[in-house]
Amino acid sequence: MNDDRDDHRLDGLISQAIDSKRPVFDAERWKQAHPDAVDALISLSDKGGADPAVRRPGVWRTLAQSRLTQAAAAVVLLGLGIWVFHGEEKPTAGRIVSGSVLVRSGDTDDWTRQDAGEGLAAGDDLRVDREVAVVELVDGTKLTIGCGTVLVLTGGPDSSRTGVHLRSGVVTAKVTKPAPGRGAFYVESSQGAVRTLGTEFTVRMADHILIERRLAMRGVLPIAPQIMAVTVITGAVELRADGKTAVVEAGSSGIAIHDEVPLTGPAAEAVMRQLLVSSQVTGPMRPSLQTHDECLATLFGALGAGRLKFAGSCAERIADLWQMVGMMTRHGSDPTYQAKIDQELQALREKAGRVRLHESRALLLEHGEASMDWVRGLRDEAWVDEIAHVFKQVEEYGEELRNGGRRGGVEGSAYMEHCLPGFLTYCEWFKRLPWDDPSRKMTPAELLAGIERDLRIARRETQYAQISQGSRYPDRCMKQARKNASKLLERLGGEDDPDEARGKLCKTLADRIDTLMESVSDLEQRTHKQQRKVRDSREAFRLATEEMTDDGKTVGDALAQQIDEALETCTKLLEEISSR
Amino acid sequence: MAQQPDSALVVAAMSGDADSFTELCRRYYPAMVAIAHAVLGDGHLAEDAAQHAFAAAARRLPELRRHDRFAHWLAAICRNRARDMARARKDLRAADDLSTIAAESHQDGRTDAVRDAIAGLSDAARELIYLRYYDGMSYDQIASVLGISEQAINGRLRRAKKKIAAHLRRNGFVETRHER
Repeated sequence: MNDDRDDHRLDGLISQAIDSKRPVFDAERWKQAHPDAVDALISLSDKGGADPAVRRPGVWRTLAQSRLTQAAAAVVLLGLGIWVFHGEEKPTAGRIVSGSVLVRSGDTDDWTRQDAGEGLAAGDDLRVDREVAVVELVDGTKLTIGCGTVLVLTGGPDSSRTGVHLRSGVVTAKVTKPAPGRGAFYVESSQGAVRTLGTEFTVRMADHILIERRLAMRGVLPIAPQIMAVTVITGAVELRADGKTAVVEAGSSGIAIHDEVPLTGPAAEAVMRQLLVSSQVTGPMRPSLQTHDECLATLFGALGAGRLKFAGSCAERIADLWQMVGMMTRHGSDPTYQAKIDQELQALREKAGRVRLHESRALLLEHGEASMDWVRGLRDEAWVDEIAHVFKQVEEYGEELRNGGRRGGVEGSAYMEHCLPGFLTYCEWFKRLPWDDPSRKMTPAELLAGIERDLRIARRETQYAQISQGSRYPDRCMKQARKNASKLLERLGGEDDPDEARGKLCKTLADRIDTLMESVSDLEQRTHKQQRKVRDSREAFRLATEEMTDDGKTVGDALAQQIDEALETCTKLLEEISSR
Repeated sequence: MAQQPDSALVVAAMSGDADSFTELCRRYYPAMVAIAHAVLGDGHLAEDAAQHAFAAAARRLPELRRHDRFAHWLAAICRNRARDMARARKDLRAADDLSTIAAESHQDGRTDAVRDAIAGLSDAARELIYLRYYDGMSYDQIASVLGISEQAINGRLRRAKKKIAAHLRRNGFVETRHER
């Protein structure tokens, strides 16, 4: 009785604490704010929809069954046949004026090449792989599409609006005044949308831009996977992102990133300049590294392609450092290595101070400092298993860091963010090791802390898809967690001793981690599959996590739930360990 | 249209019927706002996140294979949008916002303690609490959105409430005895 009363009282307290009014959905406002989404829905009817039986309301089905209607339909079909027979083109959204375009229609995966004079249908995917192509849309709008651009024609002659969805690359639109009853021409992308106000403009999509914007209201936005930039040549356009709009006038530029207020004016110009600098730089590094940081891009531009290696050598230097640390584990304590490591760290710190890597610089400096202390703490008699383990970790992180650094700055930065806290944790453990007793192994609690840490990182990666390699990172975390779990199992006696609750818990944890490994491998396969459809690997990872499993859960949810259960076991195990 | 089952509306939306889609949005708006609120800790941002999620769902509707799982699929998209927004603001922990709200509203200490307790729950538990108490959804409705059984919801809610009660006791509010 009392429990029921308590329950009601608690319900009341929670309701009071959350205290909110039931939100009401305003469909009209939503439609106005997301015209691209509405168009995407409407365009489904152009593509034939999902189920013809449901597509038409009942009254139409009834009409379709009447003889009179069937006769009328026959006349219409005959008329259509004559129209097609006389060589009229299929209803098109536009035609190619010059150049050639790879076209993919409907649900097929095949690209076919079409040349000047050929028609294009609404919903067609276009890819320009040779020089520049010019396409004229039904409303007279002329699109000049740059090499390497991928876009979709999203409005046909029957649609109330004409537009394109720009996936990547650059398109210049010379827009005619829309016919009465038709909406203004638009270019949309994953980041935002541009609606014309009678104009000529260029829209460019760029990958992997790191922009540090200190907007008063929003703090710092570290990484934008893609950016949409518009330059207006004549007239004006309305740039829309995050439900906010901004007008960009002739001669100026604007930037859209999906959940940020559009940038215009000098701020947008600065980003545009960065894009131009990066596009002019050639050399061994991928454009993503060159564009990941405004200062870095400027530096590259100033130094020229020949001296790129200077700026990029931070990642290389770190990789060298890790390698040297790894050598120490294999060849024993050699004072010359210690001296070399000291030297490398010093050089790294100096270099980090010179190369303006924004956030990365702080991380590098912090890392250098911690590593220096750590190296100073090394002693000859300390070569026990745990050190080998720590070095192995460091080596693995170093490998990731090196790969990340080579692939591009954004990945490199993300890896740094992830690797360094882990590295510092290991340094802490290293310091806490009982150096006077070389026979002592790492404590169960320390091993468990390692498992927890790796599980948490795996969960975070699954949820937020921060690292572009996506599922690879959770996979690596899981492997490490499994390794630690097997060590822990060994330490706690495992299942052999049925009286030991902690042994049982440890066995459960090891089993859960094994199941997790399978789930991560499934996630990896799904990511690879998605990667065939979308270019951006981070997006592929995200899409993979949103896929449904056979039991009706999303893959990400299922994995996160499994990880949560494993973490819960970790907590129980820790309580069990602490209680003895 | 309001009486039609989700799957019929989804099929109609997949055939280009925007009104069917907006009906689905209307149906699940409070639930999606609750889910986003659990992540963001801010009602206005949560509404933004829910609306962005609807836009994303509209664009990706052809990818939905199981029409009867629309709500669960939408919830996953909404959760991701909310997390993206939270990440962009480097403000993932709803705790901060909840404590801010607490500070602004000058409620009694117990309400603040409940908010603290909710902020300290796991993501999944906090989401469940919001769905149950923010939107007043039934177990059946929550089950369709989260894709888990009603028994599981009952168990999770019980555990979450137990934690809240324990937190209240630790902070000197002794009336509730859930933690026993």
